[in-house]
Amino acid sequence: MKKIELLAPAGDLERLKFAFMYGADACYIGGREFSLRANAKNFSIDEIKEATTYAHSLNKKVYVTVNIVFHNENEDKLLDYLKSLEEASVDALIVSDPLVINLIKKNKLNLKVHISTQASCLNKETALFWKNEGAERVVLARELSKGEIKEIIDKTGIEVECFIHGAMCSSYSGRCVLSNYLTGRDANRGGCAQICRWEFPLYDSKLNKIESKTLFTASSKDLMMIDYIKDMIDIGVTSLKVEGRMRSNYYVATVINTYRSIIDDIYNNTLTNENITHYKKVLERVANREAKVQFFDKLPSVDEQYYLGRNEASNQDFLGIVEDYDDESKMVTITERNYFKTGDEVEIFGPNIKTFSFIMPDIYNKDNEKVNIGRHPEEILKFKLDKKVFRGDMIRVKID
Amino acid sequence: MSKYIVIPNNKEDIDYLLGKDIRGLILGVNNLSIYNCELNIDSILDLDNKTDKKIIIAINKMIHNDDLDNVREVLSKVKNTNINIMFHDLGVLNIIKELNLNNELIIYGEHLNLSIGSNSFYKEHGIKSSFISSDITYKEINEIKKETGMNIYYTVYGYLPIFYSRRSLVTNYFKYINEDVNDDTYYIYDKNNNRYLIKEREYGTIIYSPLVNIVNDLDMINNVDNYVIDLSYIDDKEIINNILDNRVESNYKGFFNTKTTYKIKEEG
Repeated sequence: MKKIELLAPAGDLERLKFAFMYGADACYIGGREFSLRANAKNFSIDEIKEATTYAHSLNKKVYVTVNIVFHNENEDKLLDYLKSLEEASVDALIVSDPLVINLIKKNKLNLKVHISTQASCLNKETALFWKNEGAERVVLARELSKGEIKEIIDKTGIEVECFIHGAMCSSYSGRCVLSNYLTGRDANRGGCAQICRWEFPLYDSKLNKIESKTLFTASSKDLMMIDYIKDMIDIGVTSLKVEGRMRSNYYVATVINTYRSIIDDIYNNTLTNENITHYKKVLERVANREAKVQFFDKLPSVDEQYYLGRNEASNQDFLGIVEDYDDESKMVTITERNYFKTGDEVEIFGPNIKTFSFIMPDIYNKDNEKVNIGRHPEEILKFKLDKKVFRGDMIRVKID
Repeated sequence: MSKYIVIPNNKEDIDYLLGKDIRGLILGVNNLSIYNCELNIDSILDLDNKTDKKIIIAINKMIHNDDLDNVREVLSKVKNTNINIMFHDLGVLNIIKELNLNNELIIYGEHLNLSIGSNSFYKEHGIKSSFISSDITYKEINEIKKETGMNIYYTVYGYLPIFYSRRSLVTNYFKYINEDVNDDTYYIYDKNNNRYLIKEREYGTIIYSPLVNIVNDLDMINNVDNYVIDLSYIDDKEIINNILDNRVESNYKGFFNTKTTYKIKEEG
């Protein structure tokens, strides 16, 4: 049986490399044109080529989002862009506007197509429509239950990709243009201003204000499917997708490492309730918003909504990243990210080690002067550690 | 005959509206549309037999697997009639082809069909009519008409659906504040004091734009084939007389002559 794919977001080459290092089977990225994160850094064509070459050297895949809804003014440069993606040997495009499919077909381009969640594929007939159009895969709408997803898989045979973690649109994706109307920023061309997270006084039909200290909002809590990964494997989902092309290295590494562990535990029959409890704690710590299952097991209710502000906290768990380990002196060299000091209880995780905790020993700066406090992000620091660690491993606050 | 196509607010208004100088009606089908006015398909068939005016059924709710039997039944009943079919979900097109229907098809792409290229895609799939989105400017609409020859429908008056969630957002909010929902209509305002209508239905929650009125600007879209007057959630059916006589006041035109911002900043 083919193992389920773990699909990671990557906002740039560095994050793509971290995602692969920490266990992603594939990454989805956006180019500098026609991608729904219009204001992110995104990838140049040369960087896309570098990304695919790197991924293919690891036997992994890169999918490129070409998922804006096109206006007439956007159409001119599209064909050249598609040709350059073909030349870059990308593994598939993630597409929401059917004009992209037309262009690929008419120009006989060697490009596979995945239908973006932006197209809100919700039923088996729609999945069949896209299959008949030559799409290899549909990224299903996030509003579907387990039963609905299973029926689509069973009745169509098309590859199905489902989101398992990250932020949610409160609306069906693609059917919200609140951003256009309230800010002029084009939601379906990557400019979403997240109006669903704004708060508004609510008025009734007679224009009387609803008196409450809590304002109205459409804001949804995030998605976390940790309890249902086995169900998704069992019903035949092809790919498990993590949201977050704008997220940090640390976030991507932590989330991908966690889901990688869960998936491997499931296939190895080693997943225990104790493991699940720990993985949940890890995911809850790395997120800055509360997360729920949302639609997979029931229709969401008030518990899946956010009120009283965005409830977001800045995460300062990420303490540093390992740059080097000297086998002889057993000194670890790190780049510092957040404040820590000698005596703190911390842990190290990474793709090639089992996570372990320790009390932070004496800390030295790059000139080997004892400082015992790391307080400057990006500062090079060193400390002694008997256990071997590797470049790219990450140090964080100990998670109980 | 005028180019006006009307979406009624409720079924009691239908006869009144058919007596006006309009080309036809768009009618929601029970449990398959987002419109306030929904009828069962047998009533729509009866109505079609009684009038010479164009009758269009709307299947523009988000369609889940559980809705497909209803879609198939409705489409089977309109086979070999003059009723036109307006739909959003491309799975509906699959069923239309399976049933070998020859009715006029209208793609209701809403926010997902904004260009010459995407309209061309639909035309190549046998869809000759497009309910064009209000998210683009009149210049873009005219370009689409010129380049594709699609039979264009366009909303010139009414509230536009601009947010559609499967969540019960009004119910959830009132639960959170420990109050009962005791109204069927709510509003929010933006910083410019524009008012947005919120309606919660059994299939979810829709937020509508401020009332759009382009009736005084129709000379800029002469080539548009059908001007849609959407009376959904407008209680006064007689407003139709004012619209037809160009006597309605509203300065809100949405994106009729204003482009949305594609990128906030250009890459260096």
